[in-house]
Amino acid sequence: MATENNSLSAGVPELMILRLLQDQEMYGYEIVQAIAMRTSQAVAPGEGVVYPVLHGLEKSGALKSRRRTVKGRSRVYYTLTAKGAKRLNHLVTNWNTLNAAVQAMMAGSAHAV
Amino acid sequence: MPFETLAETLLKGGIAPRHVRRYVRELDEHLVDLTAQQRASGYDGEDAALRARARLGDDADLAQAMLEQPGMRSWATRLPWLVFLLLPPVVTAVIGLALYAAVYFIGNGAAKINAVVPVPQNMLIGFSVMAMTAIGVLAVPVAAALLALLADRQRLKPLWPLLGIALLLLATPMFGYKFGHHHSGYLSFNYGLVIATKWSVVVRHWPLMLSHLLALLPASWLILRRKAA
Repeated sequence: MATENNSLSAGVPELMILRLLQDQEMYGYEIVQAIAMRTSQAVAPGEGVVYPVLHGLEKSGALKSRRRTVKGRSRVYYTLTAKGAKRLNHLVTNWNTLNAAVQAMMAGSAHAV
Repeated sequence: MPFETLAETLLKGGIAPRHVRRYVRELDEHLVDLTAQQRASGYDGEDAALRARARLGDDADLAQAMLEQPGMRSWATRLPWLVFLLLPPVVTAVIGLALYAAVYFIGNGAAKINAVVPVPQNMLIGFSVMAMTAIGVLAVPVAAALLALLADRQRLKPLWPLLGIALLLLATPMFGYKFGHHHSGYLSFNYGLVIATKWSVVVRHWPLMLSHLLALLPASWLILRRKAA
């Protein structure tokens, strides 16, 4: 399983990738475009860094891949596994907890001001 | 070759070659898509290519992202003592002995084979003896060459592979045989070292001496390759 750390941004790329792949099989370029579109370009890292995350998730059993040729282009497509679905649920729970905590913190700050 | 510098950085960082190849291939495919997207947005030729490359990320970021992933490092990097010291004598012995036994039974069973297939017994025995000698001579040099190639492919420092080759020379798998029916024929195997203090020893154990000499070639090749790198 992919490792977790205490960084606030830890697990965010994984979370977004697993969430996208929950709906459908996708290849790297599609995933990056979908992330940029759904986050209104707010999350736009160097696009190539998505592959180490994908490979890491595949190695941990959260994803599986297969090479497919579509319209003459051969690409590696990724799909979510049952283990990946569990991992996604776990990350969503963590994210919601963190999000609620930050919201509460901000609300507290607003009252303090 | 695109991403050659990135591939070198990853290999030197200990990432397994198969992960490097896959990463580079997927980056290459991604770059084709990005370049097409830039062209569709109105940028032409080199401009489109440069913009696409910039969006993909610079080599340092791409390398860092892969180096941070757990489980992408090669076995040779993670467990060099296992890959270069422990496995080679065992694997060389097992594969060597299996091949040795296979050709031994051809020679030892020449009469039985001759009864089924019209091949002269002398020819079968001659082939068997020659093949067993070749296995005895080549087992260690082939293993040494594989260690050197593995180390070179993964851009490893030569220390571990050279130690592995030295260990193979010190504990060389040695095979022996005697043709004969029932209990008089046998196959033998042991690890050992022959120190030739006289020419008579060299002559008597010439396959082993030749084997050691040949095993030094990959070691020398590896040292020269790493020095040149």
